[in-house]
Amino acid sequence: MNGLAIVLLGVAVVNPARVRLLLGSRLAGVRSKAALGGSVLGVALAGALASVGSPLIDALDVAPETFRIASAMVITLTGLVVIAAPVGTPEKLRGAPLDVVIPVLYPLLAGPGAVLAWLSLGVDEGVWPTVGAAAVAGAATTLLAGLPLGRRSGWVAAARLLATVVVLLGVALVIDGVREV
Amino acid sequence: MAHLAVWILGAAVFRIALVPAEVCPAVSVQDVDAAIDSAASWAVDNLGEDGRFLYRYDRVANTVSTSYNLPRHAGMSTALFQAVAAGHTDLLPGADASLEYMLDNLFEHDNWIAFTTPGRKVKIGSTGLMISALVHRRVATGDPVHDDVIRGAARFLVQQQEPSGAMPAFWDRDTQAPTVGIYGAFGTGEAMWGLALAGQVFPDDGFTEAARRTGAYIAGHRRIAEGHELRLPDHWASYGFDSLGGSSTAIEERYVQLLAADFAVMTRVESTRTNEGLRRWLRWGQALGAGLGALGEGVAGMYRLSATEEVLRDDRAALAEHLRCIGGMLVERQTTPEEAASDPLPEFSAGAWFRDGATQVDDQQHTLSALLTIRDALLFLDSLKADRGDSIETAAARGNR
Repeated sequence: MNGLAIVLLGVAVVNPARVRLLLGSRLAGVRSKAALGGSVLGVALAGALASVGSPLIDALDVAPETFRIASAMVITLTGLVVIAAPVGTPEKLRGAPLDVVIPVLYPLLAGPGAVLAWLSLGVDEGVWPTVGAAAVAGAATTLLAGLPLGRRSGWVAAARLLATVVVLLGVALVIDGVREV
Repeated sequence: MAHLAVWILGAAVFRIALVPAEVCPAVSVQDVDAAIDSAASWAVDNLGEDGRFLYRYDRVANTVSTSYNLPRHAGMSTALFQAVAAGHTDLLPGADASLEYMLDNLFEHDNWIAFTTPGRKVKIGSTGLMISALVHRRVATGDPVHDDVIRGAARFLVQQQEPSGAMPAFWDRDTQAPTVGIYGAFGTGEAMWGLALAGQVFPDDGFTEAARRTGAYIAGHRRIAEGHELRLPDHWASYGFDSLGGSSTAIEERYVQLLAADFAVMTRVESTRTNEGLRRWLRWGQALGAGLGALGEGVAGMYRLSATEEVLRDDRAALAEHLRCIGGMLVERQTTPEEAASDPLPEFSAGAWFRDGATQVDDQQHTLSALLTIRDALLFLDSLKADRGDSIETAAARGNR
């Protein structure tokens, strides 16, 4: 994948617009702080997953191409789920330090699609491109977290758009994996 | 706790359903040599007096089938001559005996010859593979005694060919013409390979050009023209493009690339099949010996082609690794003499590949052909290891056929 596609996948699979919709606090400061902390942890998690990706699939006796195809199928599925149901119950932020872990890091940032994306990108592209993509996603998440919701429908549309990007990139990755010798 | 349970369950489903272990049994050149000898012995030691092979043996029912298939006879004969050409000269008498059966059953019409028996359809597949057997014999022995048969058989295929390059599967004895609208899944590729090989021997007779036309048809039109949902994993086309020296158009180049990728996916999937437990339900049973062998032939053709075909050059090492994996699976699944000893007819079992208690001549045909190139691939991989001072790419680019 080229650099743009890697970043696009990283941002789309985190889906900062959806995260904003699900951050359940009216206080911009609380949301921003939690999103920043969660994003930092998210980048660290992405780096950790990317670095264990290759050893993991070796240990599992799985070819990189097979892992790419399988991960992309799940990533595509998560995108379809978000298109169908972009918004669930907002996650409560208590304004406490642990918000950065729960609910921001998990379940908002590090869902199954994101986890598989970081693992797969780590195998195929290496640690630093994966960390870079996660950092861009984290920055976008932090930036959007501070914004007021205003017209909700716009945010929902943005969340669906990013989920569509996930689906398109997921399908492209499946095709890419199937075409590898 | 609920979230954790969902993650664990999800990971388990992911592992079991989507990314089960791909197991490639270890295999050595010695293992492959033994498998080649054993499979070839199955074929020649069980030849009938008329030169026909043992066709199908069921070791559970202890029955031998009386049916016969001419393309498979020609294919097994080809495999034996391929082995002779690779140095197994002790197989020549048996291979020649199988060839005599074909030469005793030639149908002549106009200026062409086809391999068939009275009352049977005149098929392009059996004649295409007869040409393959004859050309491999010629390569192995340098003997031009059957050149007229090669030419006559190739002319049969040329007269079958439509302007698009499509190859009707049969010649109709009643209408005295190629059948209309009936195309075989394998016959077209078999015909292409036969024409390509005939063209190597007789470069001025137009056979190469005819092979190219069919190759172009396979690459660019066949799937839609013949109504296939997916691209056929055509190992005969792999042979054909290999024998033609590679692609000649961008469409063919793309086809060859995609064909190699198809074979790679099939290899990985087959390596996840264990015939046991949940995997048997999720991944189905292991392929027939003929199926795995044909896959091996397909990869082998792409591997040989990767020495010269630009789009495959960087994949040479990967193709060799796929062949190593297939070789390991083939060797593991072959019936050893020790395993055969408890069968009612051990001579019909040893060296064969069985599924559901039965083996058929094409199980040994395709596997033998594949193993011959798998041997070369293992030596190539060993040479890459030896060249570890160079980059893998440099060593791969310098690799031997």
